[in-house]
Amino acid sequence: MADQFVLVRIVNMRGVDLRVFDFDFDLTWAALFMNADDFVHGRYGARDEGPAEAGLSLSGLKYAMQQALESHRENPNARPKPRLLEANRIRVEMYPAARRLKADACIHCHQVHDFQTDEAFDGMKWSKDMMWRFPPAKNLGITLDVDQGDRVKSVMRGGIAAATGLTAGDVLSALNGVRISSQADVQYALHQAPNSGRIRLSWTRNGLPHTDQIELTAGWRKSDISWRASMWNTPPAPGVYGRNLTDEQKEKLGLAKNRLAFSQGNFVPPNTRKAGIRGGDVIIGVDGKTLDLKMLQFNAYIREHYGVGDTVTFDILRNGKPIKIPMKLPKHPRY
Amino acid sequence: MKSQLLGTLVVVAAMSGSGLAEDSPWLSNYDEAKQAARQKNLPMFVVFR
Repeated sequence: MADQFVLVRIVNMRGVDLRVFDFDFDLTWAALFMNADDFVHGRYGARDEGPAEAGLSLSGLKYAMQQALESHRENPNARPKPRLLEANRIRVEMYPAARRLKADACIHCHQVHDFQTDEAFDGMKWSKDMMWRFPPAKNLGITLDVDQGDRVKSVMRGGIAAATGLTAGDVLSALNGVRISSQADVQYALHQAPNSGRIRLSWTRNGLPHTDQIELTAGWRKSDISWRASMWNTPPAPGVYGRNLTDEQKEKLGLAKNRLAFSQGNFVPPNTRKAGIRGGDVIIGVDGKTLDLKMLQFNAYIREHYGVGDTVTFDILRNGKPIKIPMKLPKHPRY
Repeated sequence: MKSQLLGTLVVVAAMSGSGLAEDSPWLSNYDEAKQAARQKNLPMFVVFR
């Protein structure tokens, strides 16, 4: 099927027009099916906090490619919506943080999110809602078939989409104005959706079309961002990281198996070191809370629940003895 | 199956970035690709990785 496409591979974001290529830059692999006028027929490539490949399959990719070919046959001269051409930043190197890089430095996809976060934060436009990029379909209370990304696999009772009457086996056709043929299309549509308000969902059942409105309420975007490379550049950044303790190591320290416990890595960022945290310290909580989290999830937790300038107290075991270390959370562990 | 997919993608990507790329059907210049898509009236499959 590849011979029915012009194949393009891009490994450096430098020079890429962000008005045209707007996708989840945290993905390790993303594909867009487009025409020569920059119109996107469809997308492929999605993941969440689970295994990186869980949302991918050859069948799912082929299905998305077939749908893109059909879209191209129907409307080969489609044009992108004008609003896409009104974005502030045309190229990634225009972001202030990107201009601090060497002129020939390769810019990776995930750095785009980093630059967007930096600009929003420094321009006082940052809000916690901006953390929840490209919300997954499960935020609507649905799961989709990995081998056919527009096919509903399950609908959660009481979930956002349940009120529409959507049911397993239905095939999504459009969401929030975006044609759907993959999970990536759904996540792109949800990324554009408001923090609260209504969006339109269209689907077919036994070939018959249906349409309804979905009501989005505050907080609907929230998802687990612990897998995202851009999480590390999301403020505040406590600079704590390291290996999760094994069950055996936890048992020796008298900790429950499900309790947060990780050993701080040997490189301790300046702000974290200044607060008094050392390499090898075992971090087991914050502000007296016992958390059922892994190290990555803990980093996401800090970013969700605290802000830059907040003071937190880390609960730590040093050589097996409990200590408490307060730290004023910086924007970045280096400054 | 899933590992096979990523494995295939990695091999394709590696080939297009190596000395084997001479015969590779993968283009790296988007403007050239657009020109080819227009001439052939084909959609583009654009991969980022």
